Amino acid sequence: MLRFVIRRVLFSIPVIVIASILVFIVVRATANPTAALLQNPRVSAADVARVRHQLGLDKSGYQQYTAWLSHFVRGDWGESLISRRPVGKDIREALANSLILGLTGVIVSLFIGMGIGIVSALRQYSIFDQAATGGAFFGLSMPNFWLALMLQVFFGLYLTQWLGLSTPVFATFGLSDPNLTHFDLVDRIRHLVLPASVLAVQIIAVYSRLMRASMLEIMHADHIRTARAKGLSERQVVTHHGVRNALVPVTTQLGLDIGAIAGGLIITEAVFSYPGMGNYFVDAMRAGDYPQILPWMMIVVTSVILFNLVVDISYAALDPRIRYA
Amino acid sequence: MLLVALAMILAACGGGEDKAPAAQPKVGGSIVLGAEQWPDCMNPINGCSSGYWQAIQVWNVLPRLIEYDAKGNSTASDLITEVPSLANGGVKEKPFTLTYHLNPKAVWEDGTPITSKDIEFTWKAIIATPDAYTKTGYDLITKVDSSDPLTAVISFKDVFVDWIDLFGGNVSGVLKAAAFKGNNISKAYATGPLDFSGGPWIQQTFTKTTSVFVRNEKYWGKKPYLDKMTWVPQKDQASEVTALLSGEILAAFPQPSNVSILSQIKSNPNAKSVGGTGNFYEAMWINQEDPVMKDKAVREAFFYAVDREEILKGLIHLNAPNEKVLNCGPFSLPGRGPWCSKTPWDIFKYDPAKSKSLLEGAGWDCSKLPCTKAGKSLTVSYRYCNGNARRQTTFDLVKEKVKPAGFAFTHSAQGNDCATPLFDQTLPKGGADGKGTFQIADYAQGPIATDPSPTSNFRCNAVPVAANGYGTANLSRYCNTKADTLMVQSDAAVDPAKRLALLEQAWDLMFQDRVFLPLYVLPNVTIWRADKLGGPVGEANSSPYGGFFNSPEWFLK
Repeated sequence: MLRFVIRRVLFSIPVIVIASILVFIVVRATANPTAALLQNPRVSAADVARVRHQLGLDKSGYQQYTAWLSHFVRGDWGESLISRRPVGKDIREALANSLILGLTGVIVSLFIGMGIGIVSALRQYSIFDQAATGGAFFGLSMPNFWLALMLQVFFGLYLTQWLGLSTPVFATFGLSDPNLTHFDLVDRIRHLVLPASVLAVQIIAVYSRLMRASMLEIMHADHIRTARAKGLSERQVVTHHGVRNALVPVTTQLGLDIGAIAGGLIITEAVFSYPGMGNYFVDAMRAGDYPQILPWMMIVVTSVILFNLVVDISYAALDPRIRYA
Repeated sequence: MLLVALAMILAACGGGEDKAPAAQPKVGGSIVLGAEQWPDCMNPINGCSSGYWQAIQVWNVLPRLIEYDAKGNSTASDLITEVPSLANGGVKEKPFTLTYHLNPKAVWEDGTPITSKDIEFTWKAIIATPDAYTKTGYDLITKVDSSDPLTAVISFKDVFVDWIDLFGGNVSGVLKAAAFKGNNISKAYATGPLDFSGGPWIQQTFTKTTSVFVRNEKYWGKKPYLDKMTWVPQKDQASEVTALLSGEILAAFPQPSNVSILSQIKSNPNAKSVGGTGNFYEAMWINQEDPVMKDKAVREAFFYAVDREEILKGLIHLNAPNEKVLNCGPFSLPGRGPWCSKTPWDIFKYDPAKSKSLLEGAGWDCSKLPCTKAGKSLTVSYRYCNGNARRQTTFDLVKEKVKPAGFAFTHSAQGNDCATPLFDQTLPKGGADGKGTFQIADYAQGPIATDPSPTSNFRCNAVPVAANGYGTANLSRYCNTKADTLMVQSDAAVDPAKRLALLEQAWDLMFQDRVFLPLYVLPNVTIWRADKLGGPVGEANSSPYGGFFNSPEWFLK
């Protein structure tokens, strides 16, 4: 197992480096931090040339990338081209915010989705199963930007009006009440509910379908028949033998979902003005600010690789037949 | 009889119909405002300052020498006693010198006086900061005499006609020398608020999610009624409108696109909106070196092929119902100073028959449409910012109407946003010949305030070529040596009347040469909760400083 882990870690290093090079090329080809200056008739060509030189944008792509990489590997994540803000602090804050939102949504949805999937499988073709299936397809088909806006309108306008409140029960934007100067857990939860709900609708749909399919396959397996024949209660058969074995595909999906959280939820964060990794990426990409984008990408790729490794290791825990050379 | 007389006397004393007393401004309270874009930092000189939305925040705290009123006319700020002019001796032509007399009451937030030393420092900081967004004008200053704390004498090596926007205008302001260490301020205020102030507000906090302003008790001018205003980012416009209608924010200044913000607000009796003229000059710019468009007859035909009224009706009037077609020379705006006194482009009304006639006169065969010549059809490439809904709508509104006029449009969009690759590749250097891969481009220039200098955008030596790294701004590739001379002369004319006369001649040449077709001024919209906010909210909508500029006069009801 240890050799497996070490091998995976070593293989991931060139993957991260190649990904960083590709992202750098794409960013430099599609965004230029000084391009918008030309729209202002007061900015002279000399101003543009000077700013380009100061930002190092007149150097070759190779020079710019290697300069950035040499600092990054020494722990210096550099500064934004535009603001000169240290990148590390901003990206840490954005990552923390995305993790809070993403993990809240995933964890809550995981249990709900799995529960629905298990019940659907055990009561196949029942009214509950049909309703859950329909709900899942609805959740999978729903564009998340539309759902986000509908939730804002419903909770922000209609529910507030019906209840005669001065402010909505759940906040429709932001991380916290702008008037608060201290951390308030209730307020943070108020601001998390709607964006987490948008995330949850799709995740519940996915996990419920996965769990249902997996349970249906497992519950018809020979070892389940054997367990019943041995006199185990149905509850023991389902929980100890059924669910545990049905978790393998769910675990795969969970690993991918958690790994992807690090990249943020671009659309959800934009609609709710939530300051996570998604908004961070969009703002940096628009400005062509590659010192901000490259660390973002490093974190995302590392996160995906790491959680895929965790998933692979967890297979061995879930299924004793799986062992790694 | 007695009772009737008594009733008549009482009625007379009543003074006619009852009138509700005007809302008395309530002092105190705090509000939350929505901002559609968020600055990267509050440094007032480096790249962060190139964004309009940073400037909107900075204008709350930085004092200015000259500022603009709500109609965009230059006026003395609270910091100076009068606007320098040739008449009052504040402006001298040879050598070009400006003299400002400062208000002795003007103080920073800590009570220390604002002096000419701060003006001198501001100049030095802009010059010494390597990544200052713009040094234009400041690089012509040779000295700021600050020997008298209440008088700043600024000497230039050459005339700079846009002097109004130095140390103020709608570009910058005066910095507090004591707030900085050294002249190179590139990394100052990379995080945190701009914590000094010579304005009505002090910025108390600045983060990625909030910007808090509190009343500056030391301000010598009109102090705000409100204790505090908090700005929050609201990057999605639909969410911003919802947040206003739900009461989570009390005002916003959304950028209009192709949907009517005014209609969305109208549905709520507690909210109000106002739409009016803004600060950006939008036009269709023509590539003068394109093999097809270099024919003046084709350009003129194109001007008659575009239905500008349709664009106004179908797009601009959604948010600015009184807006008219723009016919001013670049970059003047109607109602902003004396510059747009002539509007030669107003002869161009939609006339497909005239367009076809002009094309036929130029040798095009218009028996079938689009017109053809030497086997090539008159299909022109039309470029605009990828993903920009307003320009997409403009394209959709005109593309069918140009057909009976003999034209056809094609459009391709590239890139991830407006600036790239449109402004750094497509327009300046696209194509194998480096003459731009466009025939017509739709984009805006701005923000415009008073100085309408077109020189950097239309002078012959500003055509982007390999020798200048394709970094110059004459993207239309217009070159008329007479217009060049007039523009250069206008840039040296300190007397506004002389300047206007020279500019009008230059603009007339551009009009005669059919260089571009002005479209409209980008509208501004301000929305607010009228049930909670009192005062002249909305009256600064067309101000160069944005709809929140008169926030010191707002109050909670």
